[in-house]
Amino acid sequence: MKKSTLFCFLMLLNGIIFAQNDQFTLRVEGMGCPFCAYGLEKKFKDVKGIAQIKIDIQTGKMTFAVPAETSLTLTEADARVSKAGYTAKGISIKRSNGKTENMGDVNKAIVPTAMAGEGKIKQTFKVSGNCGMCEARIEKAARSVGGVEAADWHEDSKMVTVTFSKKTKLADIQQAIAKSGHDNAGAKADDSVYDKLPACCQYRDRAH
Amino acid sequence: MKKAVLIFVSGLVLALGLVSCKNPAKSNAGWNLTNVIPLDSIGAVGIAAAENGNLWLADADNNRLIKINATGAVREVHPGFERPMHIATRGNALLVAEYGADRLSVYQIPKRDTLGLDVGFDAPSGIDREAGLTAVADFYNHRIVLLDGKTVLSVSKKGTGPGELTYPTDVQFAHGKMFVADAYNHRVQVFTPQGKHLLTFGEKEKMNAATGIFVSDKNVFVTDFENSRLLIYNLEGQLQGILSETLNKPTDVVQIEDRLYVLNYSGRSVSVFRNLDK
Repeated sequence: MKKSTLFCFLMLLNGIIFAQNDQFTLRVEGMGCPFCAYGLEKKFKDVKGIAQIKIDIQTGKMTFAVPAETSLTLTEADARVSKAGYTAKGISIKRSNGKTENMGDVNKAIVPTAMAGEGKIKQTFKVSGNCGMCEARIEKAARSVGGVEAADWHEDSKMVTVTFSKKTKLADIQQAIAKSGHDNAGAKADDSVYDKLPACCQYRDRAH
Repeated sequence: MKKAVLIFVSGLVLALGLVSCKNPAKSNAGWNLTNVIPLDSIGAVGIAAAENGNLWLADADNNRLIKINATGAVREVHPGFERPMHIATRGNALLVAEYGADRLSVYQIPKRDTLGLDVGFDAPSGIDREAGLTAVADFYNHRIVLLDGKTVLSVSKKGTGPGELTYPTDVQFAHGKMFVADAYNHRVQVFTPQGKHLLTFGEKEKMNAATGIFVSDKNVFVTDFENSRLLIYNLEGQLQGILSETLNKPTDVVQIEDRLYVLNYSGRSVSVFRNLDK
């Protein structure tokens, strides 16, 4: 009897602790290197009350819990990832009150490339970059421009294929990509932006 | 006519000989794969020699140090280290760079001393000690820090020129010099123990992140992470050979007698090579 009472008490306590926490899941592409992955983890350590941090380098998934009163938002979490020099492909929050909030997709493995249809333009051009993190950043920058439906960058060829409406200017897409730190066929990134890219993304310094 | 043919053939043989002499990179430098030790759930970044043929592993994924034997059986588990990366055994002490806590640990089991909390490290990733001087690879500050117990000396700055560093990951004293894995400049740099730049090498091999380094009596071994290779140089920085068999995103390497242990981070294993000439 005593054992079952203790068990129930512990389960209740456990439920209360978890109920007071917001559970975060982030998908950050390209975290293949432990030095980069644990560098990202470090940038979240000053979030008040953060706990249960888990990071899966193979899948790029990072999960953690924060007390509900911390009120960390999707935008703030995304900004922290960006500040660390990475790009979040998806963020999901399960709030302590049971509500969920999503940005992007934490489970999506590949971003599909849409075919150019009527009234659409499909352009391919060179964008400098090195890795999966570059891919996520380049594609996100391209898609941030109004009218862009799809962007697909390939690490081997260094070419991006962008599908966008006829009202959208190619130069605006190239400027947006340059502002994310990536030199391309139409625009060059400022040194100040380039210098903030993570180590594995700094394509200019490479000997090859 | 016969003379002309003879001269031509001799010249051809000589030319072929020169070409082969200039291309030692395809060689394994005498190192042959003997076995692979599976690590399963251990996500280790650093490796170092332990006593009696055992190995220390810095299990960064699980915030602990692990001692295994030659077959991979776990002998000891030491929790409580925050993202330990590269480690080194010096005398009775195990030196640990705690990447996640911006500190160093000198572990003489069961005694543990903490260093460097006031230095301002940002992700220390490699450590070594010789003659009372401790060298630390300070990853996000792009520098090597030298600690002698009284003073703190910062060596180098971020850059791509000779003597400059971009995200250094590992450091080792050897042969009166200090060898640094200049990870994201994709090369090795050699300094005096006081921090004066002496030599840069490895750029020709097009590494993609020089994540770990080990210097033996004759060689410098460098793990080439993204290319899943181990590059073998002589002490002057000339390439002697390349190993790739069974390697999968290696982060560190150590030589113990005639065996070379290459730690595969993604492969969750240690590839063991043996050189019968050693």
